[in-house]
Amino acid sequence: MTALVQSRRRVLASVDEAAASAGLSPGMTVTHAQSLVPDLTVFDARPDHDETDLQKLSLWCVKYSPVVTPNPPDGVFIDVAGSAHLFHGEAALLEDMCAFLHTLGISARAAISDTPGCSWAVARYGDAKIVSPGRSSEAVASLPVAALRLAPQTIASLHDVGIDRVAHLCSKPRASLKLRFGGEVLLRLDQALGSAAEALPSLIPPEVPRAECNFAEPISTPEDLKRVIDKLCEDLCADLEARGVGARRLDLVFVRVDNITQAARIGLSRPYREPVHLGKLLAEKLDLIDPGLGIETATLIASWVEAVTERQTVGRHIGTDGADVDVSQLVDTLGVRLGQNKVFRLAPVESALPERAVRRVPALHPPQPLEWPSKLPRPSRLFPHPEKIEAVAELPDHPPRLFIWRNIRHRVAKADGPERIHGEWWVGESETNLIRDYYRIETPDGTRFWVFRDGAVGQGGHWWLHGVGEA
Amino acid sequence: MAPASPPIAIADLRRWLERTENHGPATGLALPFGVPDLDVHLPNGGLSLGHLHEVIEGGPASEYAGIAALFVAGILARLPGPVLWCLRGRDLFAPALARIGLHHDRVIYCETWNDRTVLPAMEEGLRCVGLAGVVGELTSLPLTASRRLQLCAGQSGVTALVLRRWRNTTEKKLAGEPNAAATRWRITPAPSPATGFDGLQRQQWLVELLRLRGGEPRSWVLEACNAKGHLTLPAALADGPMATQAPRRAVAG
Amino acid sequence: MSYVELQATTHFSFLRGASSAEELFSAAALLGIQALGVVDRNSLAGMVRAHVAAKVTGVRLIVGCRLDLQCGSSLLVYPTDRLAYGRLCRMLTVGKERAGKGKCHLDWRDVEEWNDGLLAVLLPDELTAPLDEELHKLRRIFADRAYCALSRRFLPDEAQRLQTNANAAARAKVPTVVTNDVLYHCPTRRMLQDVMSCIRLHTTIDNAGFQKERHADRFLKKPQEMLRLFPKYEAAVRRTMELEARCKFSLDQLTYTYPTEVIEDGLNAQERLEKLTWEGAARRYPDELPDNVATQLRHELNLIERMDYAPYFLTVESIVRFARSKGILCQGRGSAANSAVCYVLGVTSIDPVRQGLLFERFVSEERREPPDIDVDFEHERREEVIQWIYETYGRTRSALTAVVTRYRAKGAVREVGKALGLPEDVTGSLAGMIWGWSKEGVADRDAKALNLNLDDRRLRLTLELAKQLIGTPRHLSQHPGGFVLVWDRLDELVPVEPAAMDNRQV
Repeated sequence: MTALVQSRRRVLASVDEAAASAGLSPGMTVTHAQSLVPDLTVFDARPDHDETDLQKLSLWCVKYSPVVTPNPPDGVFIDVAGSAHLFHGEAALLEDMCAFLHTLGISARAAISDTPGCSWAVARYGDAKIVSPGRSSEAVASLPVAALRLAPQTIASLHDVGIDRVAHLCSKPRASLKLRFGGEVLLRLDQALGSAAEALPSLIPPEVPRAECNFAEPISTPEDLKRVIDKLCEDLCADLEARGVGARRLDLVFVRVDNITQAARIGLSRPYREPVHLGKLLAEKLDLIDPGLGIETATLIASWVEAVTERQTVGRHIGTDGADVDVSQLVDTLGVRLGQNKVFRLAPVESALPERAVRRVPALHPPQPLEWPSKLPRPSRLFPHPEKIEAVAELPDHPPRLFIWRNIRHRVAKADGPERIHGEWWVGESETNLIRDYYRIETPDGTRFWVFRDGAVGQGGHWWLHGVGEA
Repeated sequence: MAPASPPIAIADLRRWLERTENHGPATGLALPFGVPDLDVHLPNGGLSLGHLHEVIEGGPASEYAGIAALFVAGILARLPGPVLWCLRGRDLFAPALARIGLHHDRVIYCETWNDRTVLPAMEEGLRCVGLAGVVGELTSLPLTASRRLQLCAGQSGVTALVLRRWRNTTEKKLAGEPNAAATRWRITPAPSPATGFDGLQRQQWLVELLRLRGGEPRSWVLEACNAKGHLTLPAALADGPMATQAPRRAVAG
Repeated sequence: MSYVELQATTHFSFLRGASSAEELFSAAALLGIQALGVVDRNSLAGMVRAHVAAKVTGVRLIVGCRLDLQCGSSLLVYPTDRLAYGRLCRMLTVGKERAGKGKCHLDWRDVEEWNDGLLAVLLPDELTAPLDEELHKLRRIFADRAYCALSRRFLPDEAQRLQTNANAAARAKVPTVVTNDVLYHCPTRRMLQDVMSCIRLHTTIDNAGFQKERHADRFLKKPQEMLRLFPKYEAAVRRTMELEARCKFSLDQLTYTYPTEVIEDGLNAQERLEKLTWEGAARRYPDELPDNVATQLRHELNLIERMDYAPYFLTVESIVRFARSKGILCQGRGSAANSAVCYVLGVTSIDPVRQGLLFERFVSEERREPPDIDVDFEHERREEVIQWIYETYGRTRSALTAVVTRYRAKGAVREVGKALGLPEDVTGSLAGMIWGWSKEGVADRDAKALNLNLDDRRLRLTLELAKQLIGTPRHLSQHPGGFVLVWDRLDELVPVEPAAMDNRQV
């Protein structure tokens, strides 16, 4: 709640959510406001501080993308095209951001869409958080014209002629709109709908290492782009070396001739300053870049750096017989291409239940001494969901004599078991009485199956196939 | 009978890897299976390293490539270095691989859901000198793709192993397509011999060499990999005459 | 009948066995098991309770012990007679002496030394040495008293494992015998057993992993069920009966023999007591000895002679005499005050005749127990008295009695809560509500009062399992002052182990 002196009256400059829901709005006098909310807290407005604070806030937002532009008085534009994937998608990114801002004591509204204009409109006047690609026009159509970032007089004039919603505006002939309300209306409309481009100057903190290239002749072919990337990597790595650090995150920002920015971001498993490898990883992301009519400027920013120690033990893979192979580059490349959570190692968990006995760990995780028990035969393929089968077995705990799987009958020639596995009673109530009797069975043709019975047959126990391929 | 190659010492293998880095593709290095009757049949007395090999499975559960996976893991267990395994789903159960000697810390997995992503991932792994091998689970292995894999393997010395998987008969037919793999194997479960004991001994496999460049198809009935990743002759016949079946005319790939 | 259970572990195997002897014997009775072999680990501490439980339920107790040897092998031993029992006690004493408080180090050498009269059952599944070797040793030492256990674990390759063990036993000419390796009396006790493992290993249930016991149904089963579970080993199942028949020892055979005082003047205990009594009487009644007192004294001395209690009185008298000679304050109390003999000996200071107290309250012919003469000693100087007793009677014949510390409600809730991963403030609150001893544990309404959410499963489990844990032994500790003195070697009566303080043993 801030107040500004305006023509000798104290007037509200801005209100927070609680105040807004109590009916207060900017422009209202303080006296009026206080009559509505007696215990109002009022701070003096400091517009110049507001601007610096907004800049600071924008800089904080660089963690979401390098392409950040403050939008005074109370907004920030963030171009997340190249980095949403690092946050597991747009929805997760928005959640993360709002939570982050919340911890700073800021309540925020946010929206993601194809264009800055549409996002601005939807964030302030709409409900949706994410507007699907290509649906900007639908998203803004139902919004009031104030959502178009127009001057108050323009908005008033539009209201006078009965144009309240953006959809109304769209239905009018463009020429007459321009005549009556000026070019701004059309520009803002086109920007919101995505038919006019909007360039956003981005804000990069000065101490961040970067390398930049400008081109007299705009470039657009993949080969040229690749060459640019390589050059930028070389320059940046030299800078990193001089500073004694390596990059853990790189942002590649291209600015096109039409001032539209295209960015891509990659994460690295350990600090790097090796230009060839970095260049290769960035090249993987080139298909996300649309050069349009040509790129004028290319910047490579190391937005997260860490000190590099001489002997990097992480990444030197623990091979057997002392074979010392550095797989971190392989891991990074696959991670960038497939997603970092799709590249992993598997490690033992001390659980008797087979589906709990394995967990994923990061590919370069240091080895732990835990091992699976060596005396327990296990199938090489464990079905994520055991398949129900019919089986005939002598009660109460003999292996099946025959079973039916996917409508095919199999006789059982030999079997071993039961291996009795109890549920983990401390995990949940349903597991307290869980008992599985596993049997390794062999059919006459030699195939081995791993089946279990999950309870006494008379008491609703069923037979299941859990895996094949015995080791 | 051709003389069998001497078993490869790890030190030799490492030296060869170093040489490869400097001098380019090497030929002639092979990993013996340790079953004389099998090894003698292969060029250089074992599975050629730095080449592409293909494994399919037979039997009623063949689509899961369960024992094919073990066959491949047993090979990798006996080579030094990390392994890249390009998965096709979430059903590979690592404890089984550990039981035959492929330690869990050696294997890096990447989750690739279709052939389109598996092949480039495999190539990436094949360029990483020093890996023991790269495994890819593929439905289709067209000739061109297989040539690229073979080339990459040859250049780095990393062995490429393809496991064929399918979900229906149409996909299964793709397993018959011709490709540039140096060897093609089919592993099928075989009935284990009756013993006096109750219970199960080690499983038996029918190991068929369906195609071999510069060699004849052959087949053997062997015991599944032991804790060190070795295939062995079935216990009953270990001391007797040769363990191969009367040469079966396996279907040439 | 076809089967008796030879391998039952009570909660005197601290934090391993999850059931009391009472529970085990009651369950055995219900299941139709005629005899139970109680085999706690390197200990006979639970034997008395087992003996009582056996009497109450009618199920026979086979006294036994599980010896966990330093080399990693384990065997169950059962004494066939009183002498063998004594040997078992001595062996355990040696092991405990060697290892220090709370532990026991024994080896095959010790087993060999003390094996006479003991039946032994080798446990073949947890050996570090090859089975054939251990069976060979067993056979060599125990000859026809050697057996090998067969137990099911519900693991892969079970049939093969049993066959391998049976074959090895046959090769070594050691007969096999089936056991169930019982850890608790009924299946629901499994959870507490897991929690006990966590407490013992100082970890929580989420982190314990494979350190917990693998639960292969280790609860008591009907004899019919045991036959069904071992279809190929019927002979081994039935052989449990043969082993039981060979063990003819019962704790009833233990008699408490009191040390006779070593006396130079040629008098026996009774004579000496009478001498001291009349001497003391003369001191107490320097003038004429009243008739009624004299009658009373004679009456008591007669009874004492009939019951053979003289040595006991002499011992107490000599201890008191030593204490007084050193100026250590001491006073007899309790029912000993009813005895004129005690009064004239100077053990007590109340004249019972004058008070009209009844001697029969103190010693009676019906109660065949020796009388309880409680003497309090000046606290700061107790140690001198204790050491004098050790010196005079010798370490082989005297020891302080051990006391079993059991879980009380507070401790139970704390430990179980910790094992279930509850934060300390929560367990503290729960535990703090119990004042002293309470068999019922924490009442649910009290938990609500503390704003603890009873819907939380772990909280409920903590309360339930803590209730089961209350009363369970945690460890042995020293009794404040009760001494056991015996005529023969004490360590043939019970195992003796070193106590925490120097120069003490229990």
